[in-house]
Amino acid sequence: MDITVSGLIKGFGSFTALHGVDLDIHNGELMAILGPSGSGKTTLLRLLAGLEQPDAGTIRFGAKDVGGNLPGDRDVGFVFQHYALFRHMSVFENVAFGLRVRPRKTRPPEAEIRKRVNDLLNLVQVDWLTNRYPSQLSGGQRQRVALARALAIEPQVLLLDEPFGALDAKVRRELRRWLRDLHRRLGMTTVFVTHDQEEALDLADRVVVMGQGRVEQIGAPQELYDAPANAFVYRFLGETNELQASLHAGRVRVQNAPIAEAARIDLSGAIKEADGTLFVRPHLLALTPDPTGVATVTHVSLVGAMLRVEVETHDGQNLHVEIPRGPSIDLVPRPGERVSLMVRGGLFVAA
Amino acid sequence: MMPPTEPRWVRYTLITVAMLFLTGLVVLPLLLVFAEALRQGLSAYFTALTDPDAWAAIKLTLLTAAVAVPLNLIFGVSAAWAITKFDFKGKSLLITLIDLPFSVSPVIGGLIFVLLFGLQGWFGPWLRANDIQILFTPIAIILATIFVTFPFVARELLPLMQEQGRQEEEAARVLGASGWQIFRRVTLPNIRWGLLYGVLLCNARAMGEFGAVSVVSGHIRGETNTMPLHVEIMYNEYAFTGAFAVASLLALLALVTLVAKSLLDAVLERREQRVP
Repeated sequence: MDITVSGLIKGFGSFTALHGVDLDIHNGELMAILGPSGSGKTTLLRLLAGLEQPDAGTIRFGAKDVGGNLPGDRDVGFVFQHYALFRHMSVFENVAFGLRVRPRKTRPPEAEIRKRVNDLLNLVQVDWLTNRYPSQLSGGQRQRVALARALAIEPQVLLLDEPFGALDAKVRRELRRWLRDLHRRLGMTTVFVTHDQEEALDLADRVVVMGQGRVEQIGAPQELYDAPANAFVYRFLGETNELQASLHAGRVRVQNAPIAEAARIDLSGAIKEADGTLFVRPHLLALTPDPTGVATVTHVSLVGAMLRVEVETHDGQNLHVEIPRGPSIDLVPRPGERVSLMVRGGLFVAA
Repeated sequence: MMPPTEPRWVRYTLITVAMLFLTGLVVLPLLLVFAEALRQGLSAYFTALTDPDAWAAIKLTLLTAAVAVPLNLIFGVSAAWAITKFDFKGKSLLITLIDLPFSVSPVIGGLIFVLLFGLQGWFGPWLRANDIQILFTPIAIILATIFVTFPFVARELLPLMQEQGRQEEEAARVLGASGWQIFRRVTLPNIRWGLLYGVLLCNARAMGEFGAVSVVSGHIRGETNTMPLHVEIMYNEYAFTGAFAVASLLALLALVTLVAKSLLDAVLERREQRVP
C-alpha cells in the first residue's frame, strides 16, 4: 500500500506539532521516522493511524483519501510504545480481539479464529505463552504479543511507535534483527518511529529525519549519513566535528588556511563569500605527527576497530578523530603530542 | 520490615490510646444499638421492625437506594469516562462540580430542592398550576439523595482511569472495535473493582443520608419517612425499641459494607501483587 502524505498540519492548543509535512511511503517499504523528542514523529504516526485528526492536509492510502476514515476502517496495525495490551485478557484473547469485535457478517468462525491466533503466536514465537496474562510477560514477550495482535486483522500497513524503546539493549538488538526478517517475509508496508539513529539506520530502507515538526531530509540510511542536507541532520545523525570556517571565492578556509584541494566539501546554498561552520565526520579528519602542528592530542582510546583520538586546536576547539586500526598499532599518537590536521570531506553551512 | 525504633512503653501507650478511643467511640455505641434494640427480647424486636410505619420506612429507603445508586452509577461512569478519555472545554469545571456535594452541607443540598420545587420556589407556581407535587414526596427524597451521593462513583473511578490512560482504548479502536465494544470489553473489565467499591460506598450513603432528606421529606409517617428519619421520630417519642431496631438494621448495613470493602481491598491487593 503506497501512502502519500501532503501538507499535513497539526496543532495541540498553542503548540504546533507538525508544520506541513509531505511524505511518500512506497508499497512494501520499511520506513523509519527519526527525530528527537518533540519533533512531531509520534504525532505523524498517530495521524496515519487516524488516532488524531489533522488540522490541514491529506493522507492517501493508495488512491484513497482516508481523512474521513476512523482508525478501525483504515486497515492499519498499530503497535504502541508501551504495547497497550489488554491487561485483563490472556495472550490468546489479546490477539483474537481484532477478530472477535468484527460484525457477525465478517467475523470468522471460532475454529478459524483459533487457528489464526495460534499461527500468529507461532510466527512471533510466543505460542507457549497462550494462557498467560500481560503482567506475567517480559518486555520482549509483550512486544511480540502486541505485534501479533496488530497483525491479526491482516492490515495493509503496520505502524510501530518506538517499538524497542522500553527494552534493554540486548533484547533490543535481538528484536530488531527479528523484525527485519519478519518484514522481509511479510513484505508489508511498515513505518516505525524512533529517536535512536542506530536503530533507524540499521533497520530501515529509508529514513525520514524530523526536527521541530518539519521533515529535514528523506533518504536511504547511507545517503543521510554521507550527504546530510543541513546542519540539523549532520548534528543528529552520527558524530560530527564543527569547525569555524569561512568561504572565499568558492574555497572553504579553516583558520585562514585553505583546505586541501582533494577534500570533498558540500556547500549548502550557492553563496561565494561567508563565515560559517564546517561539519566534518570524525573519520574524515586525518592527523599526522607534526611538532609545528596546530593541535595537541588530549586523549586516545584504543578499544574497538577504531582508534579514537581527541585533539584540541590552538584556538581551543575540541575535535574527534577516528582512524581505522591496522593489525599492528605502531603509529599511536600519545597525549601531549602535537599533530597537524587534514580535512578530507564535510559540509559547509554559512552562519 | 524495619525494626521498631520507639521504646516498648511508647508503642504500647499509643496502641492503648487508639484502642480506647475506638472502643469508646465506635464499638461501645454500636454494641449499645444492638443491646437496646434487643432489650425487650427478639419478638419485640421483630414486632418493631414489622410495624407498618417502620416497614414503610424500610421500603422507602430501599426504593431510594434502588433508584439513586443506578443513576449515579451511570452518571459516575459517564463523567469519569468523559474526563479521562477526552479533552474538552470546561473539563476542570466538571471536576469541580462533581466535588460540590462533598463540600456543601447536606442540609443545603436539601434546601436547594425546597427553593426549586417549594410553593415559593422557582418551579413552585408552575407545579401548582399543573397540580404536581414534588416536595414532601418520595421523588424529592430520591432527588436529594442523588444530589448528596453523586460524587461517590465518579470520585472512585477518576484516579483509577487516569492511571490506566487511554492506550488500551486506542488499541481497541485501531483493531476496529466500536465505542460500545470498547467500553464493554476493555474499559469496564479494567474498572470493575473500583466501580463496585464506588457503588458500595454510594449505596451506604444513599441509605444512611439524613440531612438533605430531612429537609425535603416533610416527615409524613408511612409515606415520606426513610429509615434514618424514622429512627429520629421514634426516639423523640421514647419508642426506644422501635428506634433502635431500625437503627440496628442501618448499623448492620454499615457493617456489611465494611466487610465487603475489606474483602475487595484484599482482592485488589492480591491482583496488584501479580503484576511484577
